Amino acid sequence: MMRRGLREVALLAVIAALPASVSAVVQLKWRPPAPLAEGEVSAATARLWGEKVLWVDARARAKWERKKIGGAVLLNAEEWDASVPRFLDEWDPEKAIVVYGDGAQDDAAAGVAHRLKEELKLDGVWVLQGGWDAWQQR
Amino acid sequence: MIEIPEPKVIEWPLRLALGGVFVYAGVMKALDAQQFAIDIQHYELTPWTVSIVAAVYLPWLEIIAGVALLVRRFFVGAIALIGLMAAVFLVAIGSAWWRGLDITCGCFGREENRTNFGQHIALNLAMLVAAGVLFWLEWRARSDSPPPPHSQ
Repeated sequence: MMRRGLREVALLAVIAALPASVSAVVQLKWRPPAPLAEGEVSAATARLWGEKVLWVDARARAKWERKKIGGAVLLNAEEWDASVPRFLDEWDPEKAIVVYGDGAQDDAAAGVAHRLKEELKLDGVWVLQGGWDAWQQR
Repeated sequence: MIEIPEPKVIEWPLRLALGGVFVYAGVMKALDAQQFAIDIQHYELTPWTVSIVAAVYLPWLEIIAGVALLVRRFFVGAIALIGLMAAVFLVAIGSAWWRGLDITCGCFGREENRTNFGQHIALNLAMLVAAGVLFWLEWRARSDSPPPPHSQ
């Protein structure tokens, strides 16, 4: 029974690979990239900017402490007043500011970017398209 | 004296429930593999390449194993695969809970609410037990059946 079971497992695994291959091509290869909203920058473009970016993490503190984009400064709505001085210490007018949140469904980054522009009167503020989720996709 | 019900009385609802859950979960995930890859990535257990391969392959393995269980074809293999997948899901969800991750599990496609870890662990444990019971019933049925006649 064991040998038969293993043979069947292998067979089912191979059968599943066929529709999975088709799905991979249809869903991943042929899917056009999502258009950028106003003020957004793609992860690919932001990577090209390299050192000329000041990353701003708009997620919750626990997530920022666990994992973040290298050198990212924490600046979220919950800790805005306490975090702004730290952000201003890091701010460099020569660098673009790219704000990121959790993912595509998260509005936190757009909110922080808006406040940076409106309250601190900063230029060159961008929102990372797809947020932290998109950054990890490489 | 306690009477043990006919194996079919136990097997049929278990097959229907377990196969149905796996087919449903597989279809919901297969519809948006990109989202499922992101959900897998949230567990912080795999690099992106592995997440994307798993996101494309795993839903179809769930569907095929679920259908095989429902129609009782490649039955032992289907039980083994479903038991194995339930065990893997159990470990992944348990480890996320242990590490205090604030994630959506992605078990049934895109979810808006944060995962209720206790509920998902209970569901996966139940599926693991169900797979175990189905395996035991099949093993018992095969043990009881007479051996094939030997040719002279």
